[in-house]
Amino acid sequence: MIKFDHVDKVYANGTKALDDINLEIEQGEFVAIIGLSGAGKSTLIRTINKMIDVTSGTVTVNGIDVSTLKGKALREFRRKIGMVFQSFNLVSKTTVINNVLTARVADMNFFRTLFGLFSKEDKIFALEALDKVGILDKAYIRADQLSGGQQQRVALARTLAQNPEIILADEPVAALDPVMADVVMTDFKRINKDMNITVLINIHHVDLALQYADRVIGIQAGQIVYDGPTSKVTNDVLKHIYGRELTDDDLMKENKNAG
Amino acid sequence: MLDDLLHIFYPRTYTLGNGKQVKEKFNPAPYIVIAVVLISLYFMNICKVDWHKFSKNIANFFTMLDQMFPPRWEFWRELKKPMIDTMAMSLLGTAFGSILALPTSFYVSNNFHFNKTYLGLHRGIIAIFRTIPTLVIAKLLSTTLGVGTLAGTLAITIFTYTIAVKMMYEQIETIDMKPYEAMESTGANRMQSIIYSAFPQVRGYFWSTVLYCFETNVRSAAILGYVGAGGIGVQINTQLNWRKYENAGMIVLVLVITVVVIESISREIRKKLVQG
Ligand SMILES: Nc1ncnc2c1ncn2[C@@H]1O[C@H](COP(=O)(O)OP(=O)(O)OP(=O)(O)O)[C@@H](O)[C@H]1O
Ligand SMILES: [Mg+2]
Repeated sequence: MIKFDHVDKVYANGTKALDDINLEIEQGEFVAIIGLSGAGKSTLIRTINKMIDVTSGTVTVNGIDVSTLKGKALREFRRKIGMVFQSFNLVSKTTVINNVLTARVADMNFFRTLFGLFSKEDKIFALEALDKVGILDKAYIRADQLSGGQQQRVALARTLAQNPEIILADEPVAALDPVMADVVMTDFKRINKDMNITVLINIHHVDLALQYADRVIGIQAGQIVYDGPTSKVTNDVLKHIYGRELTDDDLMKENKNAG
Repeated sequence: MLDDLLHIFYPRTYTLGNGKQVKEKFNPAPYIVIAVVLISLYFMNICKVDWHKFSKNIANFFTMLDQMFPPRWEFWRELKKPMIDTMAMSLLGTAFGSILALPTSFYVSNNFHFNKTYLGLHRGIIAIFRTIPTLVIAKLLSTTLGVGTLAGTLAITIFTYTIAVKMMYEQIETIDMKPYEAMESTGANRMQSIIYSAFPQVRGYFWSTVLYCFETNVRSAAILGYVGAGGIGVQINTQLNWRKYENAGMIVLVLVITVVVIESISREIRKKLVQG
């Protein structure tokens, strides 16, 4: 379980990115976090694996107060939390399988790390992760030769190879076309259901959020302004979160149908 | 026309139809060009070439060249050992220097948040060493460690280290840090993240740097013998002193061929590395 208790985040330049966040997320939930650009979505999910330190309040993951973690304890904690990024963050000059294998490196000793001695189990684990997202046949191709959608699936496989309990995804489909966005969201959904992995997704496309997530959290200027089941998200709720009527840009589907 | 030309020296102010005023940004480029031309003229004046002396001595130079060719082919036998020494010095020096430079270059790059003080200190020391010519370092080493290839190898190691670290960290500081962030998020430590997300981005550049250093090192290793650091330079020194120009000719020939062969092979490989 992920728990936020009166969490504030003020950046060094004085920007208040999180303002009294209180939140409980159970294991296996699929949560979409929506809100305007600059609302604090990225900041919120990055405090969960302590890529960003909170200013006050506590973030607790499975009973562990994240702020107490550092060094080796922090690295071990991060093993259980996968992260997927908008720009995929793959190492472009190397193969797909090597990218996926980077998720296994944290568990290797100095000698194995230095010489890239992955065990047979590691390789099988990585290949199975690729299989789960349907791109096993691309294993030995260089990562930069794949399309954006395929690259994001490699990134997803990399995260799976880490065997996480939680996946944090920061706008994972923002750089993809509508068809690939659907494919990748379906992957997330399947992983969430089949493996009972908690999925937290920051997403700009409201209709995708509504289609795939079980729960929606709306953020505005660092504050939670909506938190509830997807089914209860009405147009008024959206207007409240975004402070305005939604445009075609927010609704990817409309674009797709029109185009 | 003339007006537009003169205005490259000072910014104009434009008044738009609606009365708004826009002031052009000052462009220093024309002043810099003029300054460079003036400074060049000044230096040409200082270094006035004595054409008379030059024409007298150039004749000596051609006489020497004339005696160098044809070279004495049999001299090759005496060149084999010093030539092998020279190559060994360059190879070992390049290898040691690059192996040491690789981890250091990541350590002194400012994108991985290593200790800033240490980083600046190490870079400073390397920069100082880089300004000392290899020949001087070799001279110091051969006087302290004794005459021979050890001094030469060490001098080349130091040179390779200083140049490779600089070339590498400048490249490393331009890499994409996003894969590194992704790796840190998996719980990998800094060393693991560097090896698997930063190093692959500069792998080709690293090998290219190693080859570049090797090329340079073969050339400098050839003259290190002059200061007692072993290799073929010892022979150049003796043969010229004895005025055995036909032997010196053979040395020059061997050196030219070696350097040309190594450089062309290295250039081809480097081209491939950059593309890959
Ligand atoms: N490193 C930082 N230093 C200072 N301010 C920051 C930093 N990172 C983010 N901010 C500020 O904090 C606020 C929240 O940023 P955040 O990136 O969390 O928003 P977001 O909801 O993810 O936006 P987007 O949808 O554009 O990604 C913004 O005002 C942003 O400018
Ligand atoms: Mg963001």
